[in-house]
Amino acid sequence: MDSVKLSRVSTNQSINLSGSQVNVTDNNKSLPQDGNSCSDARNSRLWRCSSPESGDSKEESSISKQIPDIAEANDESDAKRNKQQNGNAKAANDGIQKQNKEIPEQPEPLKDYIHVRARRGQATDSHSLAERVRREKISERMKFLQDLVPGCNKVTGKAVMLDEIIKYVQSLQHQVEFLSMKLATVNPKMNVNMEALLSKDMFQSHGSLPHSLYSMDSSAPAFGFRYQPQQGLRVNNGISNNTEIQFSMNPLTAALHKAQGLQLHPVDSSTLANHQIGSFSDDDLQSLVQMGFG
Amino acid sequence: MRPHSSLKQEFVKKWMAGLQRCSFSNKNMSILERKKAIKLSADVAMASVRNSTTCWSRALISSASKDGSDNHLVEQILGPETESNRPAMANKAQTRRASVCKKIVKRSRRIRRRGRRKCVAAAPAKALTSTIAKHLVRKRTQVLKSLIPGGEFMNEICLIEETLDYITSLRIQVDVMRSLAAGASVRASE
Repeated sequence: MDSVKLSRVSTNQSINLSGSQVNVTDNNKSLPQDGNSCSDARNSRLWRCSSPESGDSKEESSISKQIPDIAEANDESDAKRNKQQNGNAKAANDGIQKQNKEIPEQPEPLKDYIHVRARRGQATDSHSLAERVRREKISERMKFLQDLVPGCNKVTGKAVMLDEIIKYVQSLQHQVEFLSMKLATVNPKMNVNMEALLSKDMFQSHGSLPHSLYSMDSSAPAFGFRYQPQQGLRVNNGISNNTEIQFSMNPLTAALHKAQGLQLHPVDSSTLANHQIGSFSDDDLQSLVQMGFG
Repeated sequence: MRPHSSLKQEFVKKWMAGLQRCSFSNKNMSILERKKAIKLSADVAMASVRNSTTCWSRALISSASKDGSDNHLVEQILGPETESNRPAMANKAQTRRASVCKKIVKRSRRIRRRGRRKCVAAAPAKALTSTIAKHLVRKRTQVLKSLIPGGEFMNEICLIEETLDYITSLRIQVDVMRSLAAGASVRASE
């Protein structure tokens, strides 16, 4: 029989398929067409199943059902069972047609083995298979990082992306340092009372925050507060946060007025000066709370 | 930052609680000391938001609590959780030792390998660029490991996951601090 020989993948309790899902299904469909199954160990068309975190074990089992029973399946499953007992990846390397690799666990608590098979035309060495799994895991996670780190979209390649990531983390850490220094200088009178009131007000005013957000929209342009990016901060970070800061300043003033029972008048920085601002008072604390929500 | 708002709230809450217990009542605290206390409480608050689910948070808290002077602060911020965290930290110390030993062994192997590589004749250009790329990547992962708290003890995959988490936490921290600083400076300027 020239039909393609594929063995069922033994499913442990929680083997999951990932984006290699696509590979699996594609191979599954194309293999019946490709009637020429190479019995050569090196060129055997194998499909790969790895087990990153996200996946659908349900789909995995359905795929295994789709695979038709093949003549050699029985032999293969015997060999597979032996391999499972050995658990040794190296034992599976020798001249067996369908390589069913079992690579010892990556640090994931649920799965016993990761079943990996070599792709067509690629080395079936256990080391290279493990390497490939590792590489694909890393590149998967790098994709997430690409979304997170600004300016990484166009860049491909590990080295450059790592460079960007390093720069970004360093800049964030510098920002934290700088801001903590700034907070230390700006609030010389920060005392215990303030903190207590802050924490109390935070929970009380949480409900009023969304309302004040909408009410102050109309007066947003009148506020005219522009947050200047500090020296030494990365500009792109400053820009991305600018809008948030502006937005958060509006409920600040709303809460401010509410707290004092004043009427809403057009807000500009001069009005703030009219309030009793010397040492921190209650309304200041509330406004600071609103800032904390920004 | 909408999905992070709950994280932000937790962070602010814990940070304020920590600052409250700081020794700010001492008016003679220098700016540097104050800044250090602010930063420390912010960092510990950030790490405790994660509830020790991530490696970097555990590393941060353990390194903060190792320092004798800051110990009380850390304990107060973490509150009653410290008792449960301490055995976890002890295990972490053990795994640290094991991984440090592994690192030493790896380094010695690498040095031996380097000696062998030099004997190889001039490699084709393709292999050369790939080795250069690998070298660069390795160097940069080293740098990244030094940046992330507790990073030296992770393999590459964990490192990238931790980086992701750490970056989001840092972002939250920066946002909150910046808005707080902006508000405070507005007040102060009046």
